[in-house]
Amino acid sequence: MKKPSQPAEVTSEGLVRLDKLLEHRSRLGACVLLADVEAMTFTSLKGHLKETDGNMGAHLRKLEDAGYLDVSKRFENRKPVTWYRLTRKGAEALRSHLEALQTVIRGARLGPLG
Amino acid sequence: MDPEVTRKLEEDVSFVRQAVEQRDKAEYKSLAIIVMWAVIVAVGYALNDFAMDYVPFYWMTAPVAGFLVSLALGSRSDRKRGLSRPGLSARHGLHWGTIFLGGMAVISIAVAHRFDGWVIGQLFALLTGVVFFLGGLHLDRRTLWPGVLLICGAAAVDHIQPYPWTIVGLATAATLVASALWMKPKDEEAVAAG
Repeated sequence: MKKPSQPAEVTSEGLVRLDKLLEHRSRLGACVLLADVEAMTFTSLKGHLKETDGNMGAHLRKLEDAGYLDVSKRFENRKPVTWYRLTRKGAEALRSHLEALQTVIRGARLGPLG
Repeated sequence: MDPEVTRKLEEDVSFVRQAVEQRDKAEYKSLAIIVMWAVIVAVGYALNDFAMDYVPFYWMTAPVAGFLVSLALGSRSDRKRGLSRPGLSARHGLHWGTIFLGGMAVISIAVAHRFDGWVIGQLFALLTGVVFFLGGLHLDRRTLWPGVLLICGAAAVDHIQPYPWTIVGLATAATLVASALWMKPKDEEAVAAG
């Protein structure tokens, strides 16, 4: 395969490889936050990503439906706590999305003249 | 390419970076573990000057108790923050456990070469200083400068008078607490970090 050399080619190659599901900052943020820990609670993810209960729940459900996250519910001090964990598929998707993002930003910084 | 798209992507990356930084800063919210180690170090080093007989017993028990309390406090703090990181806890355990392993090696060398208590103390201070410093580089930034101080203190006790160990112990304890206060997230960051 020919390696893109022009900034425009670099950028469009990166854009094509971006994962649609991770284009939203909250879904990307949730995956990044989960990437270097075993698991995080719903409340913790919501707090760090400054989202409302409803929006965070919807974003996490989309990631769960795509197989990027595993969810488990446990009772702690008699309260239900929802824990999220990044799956292998999610980690792979995140790695590939971050590489594509890097490509896009590099292409944009090269400028129209390279 | 539409510069608006690039700008949005850069903003998203910056937002995610801030979220991660905020989570990691919250690590330094609790002072309990650091204050406990500051007390353990200050008392232990003062014993070298004032009650030498209790030194071996103290250093065989207090750090082990401190280690177990630290694990319990760390895991409680993680649960409160909604985090599960068994991998990181294991790394902490292995890292700080090196002091016990190194301590046994120091005792073995000291017995074989008949070092006196003063030199054994210096070797322990050096070992602890190196482990603190490396812990500061890789795990918890708050132990970086106390590590440097302990390494220097190990050599400096030969030149400080009076109460050299007490001075080194108190200075290390003060540096530990000062680092913890310095790294503690500000009120608004702490609230955001949960």
